[in-house]
Amino acid sequence: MKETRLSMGMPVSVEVVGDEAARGVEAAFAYFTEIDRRFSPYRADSEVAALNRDPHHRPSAELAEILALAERTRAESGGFFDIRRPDGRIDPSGIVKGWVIQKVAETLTAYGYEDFCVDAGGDIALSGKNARGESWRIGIRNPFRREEVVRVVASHGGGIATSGSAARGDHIYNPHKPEAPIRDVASITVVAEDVLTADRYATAAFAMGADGILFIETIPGCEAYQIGQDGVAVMTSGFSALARA
Amino acid sequence: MKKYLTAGGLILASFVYALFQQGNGASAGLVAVPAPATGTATDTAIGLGQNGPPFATTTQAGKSSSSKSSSSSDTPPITRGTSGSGSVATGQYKDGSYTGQPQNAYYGYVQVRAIVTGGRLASIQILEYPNDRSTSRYINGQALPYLMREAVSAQNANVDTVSGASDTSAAFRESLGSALAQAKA
Repeated sequence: MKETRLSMGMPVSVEVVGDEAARGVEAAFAYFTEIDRRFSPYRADSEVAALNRDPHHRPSAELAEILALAERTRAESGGFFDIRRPDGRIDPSGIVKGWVIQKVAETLTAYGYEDFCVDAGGDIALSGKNARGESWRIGIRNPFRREEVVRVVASHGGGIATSGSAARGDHIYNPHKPEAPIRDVASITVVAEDVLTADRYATAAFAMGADGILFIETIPGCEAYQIGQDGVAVMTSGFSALARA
Repeated sequence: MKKYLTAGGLILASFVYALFQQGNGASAGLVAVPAPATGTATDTAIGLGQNGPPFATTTQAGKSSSSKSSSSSDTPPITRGTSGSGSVATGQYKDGSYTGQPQNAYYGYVQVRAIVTGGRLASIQILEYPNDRSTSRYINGQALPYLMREAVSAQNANVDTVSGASDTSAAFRESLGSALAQAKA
């Protein structure tokens, strides 16, 4: 069973294969709705908005976890990933998205679901097999022609996330040069053991521009496919093994 | 002599007038095009819930219908900040396809169409998307020697879903919000 709804301002698709699929799908969307309510910087009644109004606001356990992950990603990426905006406010959306997909995947696993695919705005968590009993097949979108797929990654578990131009201006910029647009890279897709890791590193790598792929190459368990503004893609050394056309 | 000139002038004038009329006729013919174009875009839509890349609709058909669509002028105003909730797609929409207003995303325009089936949002077509960058290829001197490179090319492959840059931009939200506002039951 597959269903697409709007959540957190983006299309979210949840596909669960097997018995009691509808119940799993409903549980997944309920989680997305709750996290959106609590952590959206665009909602005046969210925890993030409260923290921006009062820096001494005591964060909940979940928000503390998100803030710690953001700090870890900032340190690992040499400051390229930073949830602090130039105006001093924080916007953890860059972490929350991967985090909530990961939580939904963990929740489905805890409920006993083995085969599912959770896709929120192009960042994806996978488990097991698709409805045809095969590995999940994830296309990498051509950033220049959205209707095209340029590579296909086959996976039976883990995460895949893409950062690219569409998100520019939302939460991705070079913190070392906030006013300079990121021009070299059109998109970078990261495949990792889970979607949270994939998302964190994709965001950080994209902010690094053309060097992002070198950053991913240094991280064990992560592979990436980076598409330049010139239409030429470069991939990490282990990527081809994951991708089948 | 003068008579010939006058007659020639009259002939020329009527010829120009005929051309003008023809021109009007031709443009009147063009105005009739958007209706079938809209139908084409809807018919060829591939929803999110099916195999194959989502948004695999014919962009050109979508564009021509969106730019000429008269329905966008009577679109209800967009309510900011209310489109991000999961509760919006729980069966309160009328079935049909609804085209959102084009929204300026700074680097181009974003416009989407929402397809509602069984009272729920079934799929989202991207009608217009910023695509102003040159796809011309050149290999720059700063090659990464030990990493493989390739020119990107379209693959004909069945996929379960597609990973791409996030559609979280405000422009996307707003265009979708205006499409769904029309679908409110």
